[in-house]
Amino acid sequence: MTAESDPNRKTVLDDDTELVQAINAGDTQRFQELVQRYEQKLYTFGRRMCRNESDAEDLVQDTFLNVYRYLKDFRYETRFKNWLYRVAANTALKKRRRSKFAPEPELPLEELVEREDLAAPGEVPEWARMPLEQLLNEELLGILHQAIWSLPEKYRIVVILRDIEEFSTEDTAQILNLSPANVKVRLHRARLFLRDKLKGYFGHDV
Amino acid sequence: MMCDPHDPSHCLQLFDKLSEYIDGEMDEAERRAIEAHIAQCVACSGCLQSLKRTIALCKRAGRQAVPAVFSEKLQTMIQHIQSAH
Repeated sequence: MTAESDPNRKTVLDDDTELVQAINAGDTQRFQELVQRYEQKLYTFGRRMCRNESDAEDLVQDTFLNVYRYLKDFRYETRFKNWLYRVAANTALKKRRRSKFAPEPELPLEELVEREDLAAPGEVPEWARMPLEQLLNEELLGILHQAIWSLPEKYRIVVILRDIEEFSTEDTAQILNLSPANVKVRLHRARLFLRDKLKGYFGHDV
Repeated sequence: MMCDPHDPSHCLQLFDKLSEYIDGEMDEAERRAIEAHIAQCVACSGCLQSLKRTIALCKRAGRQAVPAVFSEKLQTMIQHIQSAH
């Protein structure tokens, strides 16, 4: 039985369906519309994934090339946005595999939670208490971006999809072809790593 | 999770669950147990707040404006592949 003739096949319609169907029906000029719709989102994804600006641009460009090439294979079984980010994620991960052969480091939980954090009652640190608007500035955002770039890639991509792009756990699992449980583990470790870097920046103990 | 509120090994077990708690992805019984512990453990409460703040900062990391030059380059590339097909 082909996917098309399977009565149990799920079809997901969303704001992109009409445009994608039009392109796949031959109106390829409308691909520009798709690019305009997603270029900023994918550029942000690229800049958070890649420390180097030109690597981020290559990632966006290669992603759109792959989308153009494989759009006909999109089966409307997920939201188009999930499929697009799956292409972007695969493009990003393939680039790394081509450029580095060293295995990715792990983030063991024990190293992320210092025992002294929890050994003695402390108080909520000032940076976690003060109003967010008062805390936010260019320097802090720079520190946060550096911290995200210093995460091993398999953790970085999860925290970007969950906490920056704000995909759900299920959508992130679908995009990365991971189990939801695996997404949760990687996300928690990535957040602890970032918390640790921010803690260092603010110079507090908790 | 009824135990000494400042038992570090117990706190470490709880720490493993904090993201699921923040994301509202745990069942009612687990959620209540964590809240009961946090209500009496100042150290865990501090960790929870700093983790929540870290997530809030990530959510505010901001969209990145696409440089005009790159946007034009992208359009040119698309026109090129369209004309090639």
